[in-house]
Amino acid sequence: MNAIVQRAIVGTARSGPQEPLDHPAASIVDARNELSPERRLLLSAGAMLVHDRAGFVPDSAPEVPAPSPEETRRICSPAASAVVAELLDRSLNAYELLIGSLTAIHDANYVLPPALLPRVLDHSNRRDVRSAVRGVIGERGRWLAQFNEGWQWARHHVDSAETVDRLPDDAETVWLEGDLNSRAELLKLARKLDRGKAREWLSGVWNVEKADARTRLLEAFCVALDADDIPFLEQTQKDRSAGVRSEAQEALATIDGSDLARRMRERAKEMVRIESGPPGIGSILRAPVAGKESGTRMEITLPATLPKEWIPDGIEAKPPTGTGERAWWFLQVVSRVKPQFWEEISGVSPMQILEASAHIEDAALFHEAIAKAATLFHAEDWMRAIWDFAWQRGEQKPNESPPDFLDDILAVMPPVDAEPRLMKILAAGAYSDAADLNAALGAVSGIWSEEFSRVFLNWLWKNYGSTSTQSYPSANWRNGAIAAAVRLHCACFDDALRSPHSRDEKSGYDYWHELLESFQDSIRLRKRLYEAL
Amino acid sequence: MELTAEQISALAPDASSLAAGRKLGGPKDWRGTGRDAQSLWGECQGSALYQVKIDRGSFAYNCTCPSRKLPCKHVLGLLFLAGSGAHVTEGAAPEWVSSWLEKRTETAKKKEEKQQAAESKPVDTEAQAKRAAKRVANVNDGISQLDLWMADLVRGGLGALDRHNLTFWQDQAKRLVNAQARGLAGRVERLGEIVSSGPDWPERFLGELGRLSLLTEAYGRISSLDPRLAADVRQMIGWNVDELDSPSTLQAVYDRWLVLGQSVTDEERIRVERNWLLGLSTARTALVLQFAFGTQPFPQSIVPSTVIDGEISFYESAFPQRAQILKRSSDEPRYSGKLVGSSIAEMLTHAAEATACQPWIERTVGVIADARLAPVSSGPWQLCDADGFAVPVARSPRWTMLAMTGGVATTFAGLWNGVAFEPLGAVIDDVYVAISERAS
Repeated sequence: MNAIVQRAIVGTARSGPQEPLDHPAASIVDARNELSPERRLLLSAGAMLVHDRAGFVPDSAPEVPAPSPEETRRICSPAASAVVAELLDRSLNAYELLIGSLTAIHDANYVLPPALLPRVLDHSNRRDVRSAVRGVIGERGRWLAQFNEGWQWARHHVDSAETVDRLPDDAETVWLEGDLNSRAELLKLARKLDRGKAREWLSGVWNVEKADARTRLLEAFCVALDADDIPFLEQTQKDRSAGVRSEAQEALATIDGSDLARRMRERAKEMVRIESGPPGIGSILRAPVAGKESGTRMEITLPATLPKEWIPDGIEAKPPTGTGERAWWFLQVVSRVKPQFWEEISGVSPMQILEASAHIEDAALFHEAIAKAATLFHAEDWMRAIWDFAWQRGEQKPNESPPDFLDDILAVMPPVDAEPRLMKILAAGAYSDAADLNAALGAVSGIWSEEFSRVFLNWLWKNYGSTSTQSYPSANWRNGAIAAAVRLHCACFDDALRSPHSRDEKSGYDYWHELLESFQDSIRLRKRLYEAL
Repeated sequence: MELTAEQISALAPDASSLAAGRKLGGPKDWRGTGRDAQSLWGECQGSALYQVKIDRGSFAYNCTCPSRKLPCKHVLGLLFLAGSGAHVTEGAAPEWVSSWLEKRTETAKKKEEKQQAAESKPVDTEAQAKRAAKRVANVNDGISQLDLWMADLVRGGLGALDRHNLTFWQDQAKRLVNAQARGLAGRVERLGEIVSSGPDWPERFLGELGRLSLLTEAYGRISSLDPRLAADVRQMIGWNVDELDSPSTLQAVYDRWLVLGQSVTDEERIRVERNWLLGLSTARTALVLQFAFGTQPFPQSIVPSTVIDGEISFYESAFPQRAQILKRSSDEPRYSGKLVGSSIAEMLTHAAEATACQPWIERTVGVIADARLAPVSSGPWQLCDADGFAVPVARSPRWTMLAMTGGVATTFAGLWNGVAFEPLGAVIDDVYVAISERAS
């Protein structure tokens, strides 16, 4: 067609007399001398197109990829798949419910049907959604993802370290070719199953990874650290990326045998002095102290200046707004010392130490630092003690706002510890305006226990009534309702759907009822999925 | 057996109706649901209590809600509910369902009687001939003017065309509508869409302009054409099939017709539904078109992947493809079994024969056995057959197709458009599945 297209682009008025076209179909038209040049060109073009289409010659087949491997899990029922399709249809704010539904399908050992895969892969642009999607796309989804540039993140799936007891067969391939999320998951798994292998993998690629990837992989690596990891971490402590250095310093602080942990303990010991037994002559105390029952005494001395040898260990000189310099230096050191250290040097329990700290001048600073240390070291005894201690103090002084670290501790505590404490909060009505309810509810990860779910529902029905005088529920209420809808125990679905409240018909549009309907709508979806699985 | 989620999705008028329908797919909003051999019913609590009924034989439906989108979310919701299995039990249809079915039977009967009466009504042949002659004169004027317009385009050169806006093409199309040549008007509008639509647009534009010239050339010699091809030419110019064929001249074929695929397009205020059917015994293929104004429902409910047991009549053509459903005894929700397929070479030969009979044919059905999709990263995907040949595959809905077939060799059904294979569906685990964009 090239020659005739050229003539048509230029136009017959400018192209002058032309040679006949070298095409069998055009020759039929050429035989008709009565036609104008324009008509001749048009009919030739039409005849050539029809001729070429009728004579279409197929190519030789290219190499066809091997078919998808056999699925190892069963495909979920149409009813379960319909729930996922409905969530994909919804706006972006259904992603928590989507993640919950995909996780439930994965936990029930199912995968999504193939027809749904392109939609679910296209829909996943959040890291947490992708993580859940990877668990339900099965062999077919991973096979499919290899052909689409935008779906490379889905090519490899590593089950979470909690549920797997051996490395996947393609572990080496995932480590070298997988996307960052898959590699981080794999590294976490390797830390659980074969720490040496994990160290070998990470040190092998360390110099060729970008800073973001180094930070992420190091974060995944820092699980169950021991003395064998010290040389590698000390090397990464000198990394050119501040994020990597900070991660490495924090990790080294958590390993008992590391020099950094030893230095931090020595520095902390200089600032915090704890003594047990009755006070006597030569007491270390400058001020009277609580902890009267145990006779434990405590003194805190903040550093006057920042020693320059602290800086290479990650102690920052400049405090954030609202914090004094000396308090900031103290906070950074003590929060990187294992809380059990204070028990070892004083011989008293966490609660006795906390009681002793109650009346010292810098009590709040010490509590903040020890709370951070308890969460960093996952010191469960200490987390329980700090939380309970702070809660009791709050009950005694209801006008003081509770410290922020209460929610931080709840977020790290195992659900078995967090739920009874959250029940206390709900029973006390402390969050009746939902100010921090969202953070607190979100802290209890996974599906709530039946007992906690019932306590929550009772609280919801009670406070929904008492606060519905406000015309519009706050964002905290909305987010709290979403968190609750995603986590409520399945035994409470029917109770959640039997609300004692009805629409307020008198006051126009009822935004509270809209919130309730949205909560119940999510419960209904979960119920449908639960029944379908 | 009920419709699958994919089939229900294909029925939905748009994505929001589908989402709303899915939402009503649980038992919470329903009461008094039931089914028997002929129908499916339920009452849905919306702003009021709506009664929904579905004829399981033809998938015709009715809902008492005021929605202008059809099928409404309640109909879709009931289909989803029935598809999920557990919540719709067998029972006797209530009066409001049986009376609707009776009314439908009655209406169909009246329509048939009316049609028979219209056919037997004496015709004023003189007036009819006068009207026909006037129309021919109008069309002739329009075509003469179109030929001049096309000659002007190639005289000035295609290189100057991209400076024209849409009005340039619409004005010419309007002139053809006034000349009662609506078919040609549509072709001129489509020409305007090709300009600047990709680097190779001059070649595609010239090809289509050339085919349009062949059509006006053929019309100039219509009296010398084979009557069947002449009917095709008249239809492409703008005569309706009903004006050309009386039902008695149609060629009726009885078979079990598998609905290979369906597309719905909006053409101004009219929605056009194209249904591609395959006769399971005769291996004949048919294109059944339905039209609906605005949000009105299509006259018949035709669901992809179902099998229509009935009689289809083909309109007169040099390559009969367009057809209407004449009698419909029952529908099967899906087809399980093998489809007789061909190789790529055979499909292309069939398409060449069709083009030889009717040079303006746009698409022919191809059923390719033992074929696999090759997702080529540079260039169009390919459909490859067991003989080692391949044809390009149109873009949509190729990802769903690849996901469902999993790269395994199977039978694909689709449309060959002269340059690419447009997939309609495939046999998955021995069941034919029409694949739409809105998979669920």
